[in-house]
Amino acid sequence: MGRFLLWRHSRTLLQIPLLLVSIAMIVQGLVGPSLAPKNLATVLTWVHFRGALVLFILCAGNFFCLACPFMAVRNAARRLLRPRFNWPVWLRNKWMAVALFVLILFTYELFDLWSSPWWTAWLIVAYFLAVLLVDGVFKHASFCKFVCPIGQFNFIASTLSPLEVQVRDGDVCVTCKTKDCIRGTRGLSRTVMSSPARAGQTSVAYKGLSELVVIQRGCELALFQPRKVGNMDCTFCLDCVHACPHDNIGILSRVPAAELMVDLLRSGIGYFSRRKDLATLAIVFSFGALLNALGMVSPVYALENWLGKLLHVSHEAPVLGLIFAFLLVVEPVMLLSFAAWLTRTIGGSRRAILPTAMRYSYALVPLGFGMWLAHYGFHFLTGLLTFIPVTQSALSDLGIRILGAPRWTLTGLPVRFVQPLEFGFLILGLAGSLLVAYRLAEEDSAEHPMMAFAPWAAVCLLIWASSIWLMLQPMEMRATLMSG
Amino acid sequence: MFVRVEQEHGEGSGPRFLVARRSKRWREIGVITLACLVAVACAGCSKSADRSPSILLRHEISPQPTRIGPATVTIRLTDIVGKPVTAAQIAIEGDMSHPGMSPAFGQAKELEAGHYQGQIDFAMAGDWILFFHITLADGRKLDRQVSVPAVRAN
Repeated sequence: MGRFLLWRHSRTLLQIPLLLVSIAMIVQGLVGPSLAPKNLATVLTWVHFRGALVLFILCAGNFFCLACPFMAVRNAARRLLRPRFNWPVWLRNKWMAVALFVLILFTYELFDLWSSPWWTAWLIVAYFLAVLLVDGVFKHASFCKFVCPIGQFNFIASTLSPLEVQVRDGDVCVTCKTKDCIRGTRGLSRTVMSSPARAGQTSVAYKGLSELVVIQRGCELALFQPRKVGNMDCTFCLDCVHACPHDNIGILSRVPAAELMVDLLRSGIGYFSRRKDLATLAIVFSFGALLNALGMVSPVYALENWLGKLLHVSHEAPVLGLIFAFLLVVEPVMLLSFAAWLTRTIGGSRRAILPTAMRYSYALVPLGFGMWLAHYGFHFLTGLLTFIPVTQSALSDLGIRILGAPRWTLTGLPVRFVQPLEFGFLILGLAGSLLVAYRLAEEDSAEHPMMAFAPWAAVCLLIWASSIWLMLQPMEMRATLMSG
Repeated sequence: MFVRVEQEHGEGSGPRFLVARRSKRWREIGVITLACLVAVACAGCSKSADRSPSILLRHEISPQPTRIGPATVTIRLTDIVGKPVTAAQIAIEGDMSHPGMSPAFGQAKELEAGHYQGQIDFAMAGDWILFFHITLADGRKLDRQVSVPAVRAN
């Protein structure tokens, strides 16, 4: 595996199958069956892609970004159009990405994207267009770092991954003069090399001349390997691995969530504790997991109908907006502020309430990830084989019958086998969150770590209990929420 | 960047070469744009199910309101003048609106002329869609689809 990943074209080779699958999904989403369970666009997007993504992040790392089909198209487009501008300074944060993340969660519920192959296909098309637009105009990986909501999900979730792109030996970096991992490797372009006048001459002879170009990119997300800490903002693109002239960067194992327990100066990021946008991302990630799962259980329909009657509205958008505002803003603000105040009051923390809440918000990430895993893992495992009859049907529609008649009875693992796994993910998430919170409390209040920890342990237990309650609710999948 | 280098040192240097490169680039952009437009146009060409008007289907599901568990589906098949359609084979398939869920299957039996009945098991609360895959006595095949919204939890 390591040898394959070290190969310069490994990323492209991983991207091509996903790109072909994406094209098939778009085409089937637009012209195929309108019923979601019978269309590749909806089945692969909402059952397989999401589930495989979180399971890969849990077991390995951010390998979806590595094989991202959108980047394959973007790289091809950049051969035609070279971006000229730098991403605006005032947008160099995660606010836009967080807003888009919330917007996707909201539209997912409002328009029941999971039940519409057509809208799902257009979502994929919109993603491709957005990538081309942003990275067609702005240099580097502006889309990945500042815009992509899936990327932000992957970045924050992969803080819990067991693998990381890391420097093998820090001493090698100290003596490194070229810093190719960030600047890229420079050499003669192929055109110049193939010119008869230059034949046989090495790039070294031309250093400093204008024809030296970047022949291998360095990190496009501004992560300087010797000072990079953790997986945040790392797309696993392996550009730094290929650029390093000393073969000193690799995918190495590490302790999951360890990066959430420290507050070091991170290259390309800064300090976690000073980044309001990142703390907000952690909060939206954690509470969004509950919100997304809530949309699939029976009580939410009763709640929506009750709110609709109370507010005298029949349209879903304002009611859903109210639920989102409560669960993503009011509830986190109240819980985190109160816990931060208690940490200050009884735990002896010297930080102000806002910095305390920001610092501890990262402790909720494992819990949130546990919930995403439980939710998406459920759909993935119970619907594991559903892509087979859908693919059979899609090929059959095209007159290709090599896979035979669709076997619609193929589904996945029985719910009774998957449910224990769901609870396992939630318990794992709780353990991770408690551990991170305790480590932060130790750092925060050396004298009374348990007192500083207690409010956050209570918050974690409250969220965990809510998650368990959600998992025990009867599932209800409706595409018409407020129809009664 | 490559264009600039070739202009200075390449074999095909000069403004004419640059114009050729640019025109090729715009041609490629044009092809991509055209492909996108074709995709958009295709969006309006969704395949429709066989909805032959010569056979009419009426159905009832009991109990009402529909709940999780087994339900009885009663189907009446008539032709366009109201005459019962007999000796048809009717397979019932139930799908949820969410992908990845187990479908339900059933077979309807003819109780009297044009009057069929079968069972289907709604395994989960939510919106269901029932498909009736009908094979007529003369071998013709028809598909009918009805939605069963808001199957309730027990």
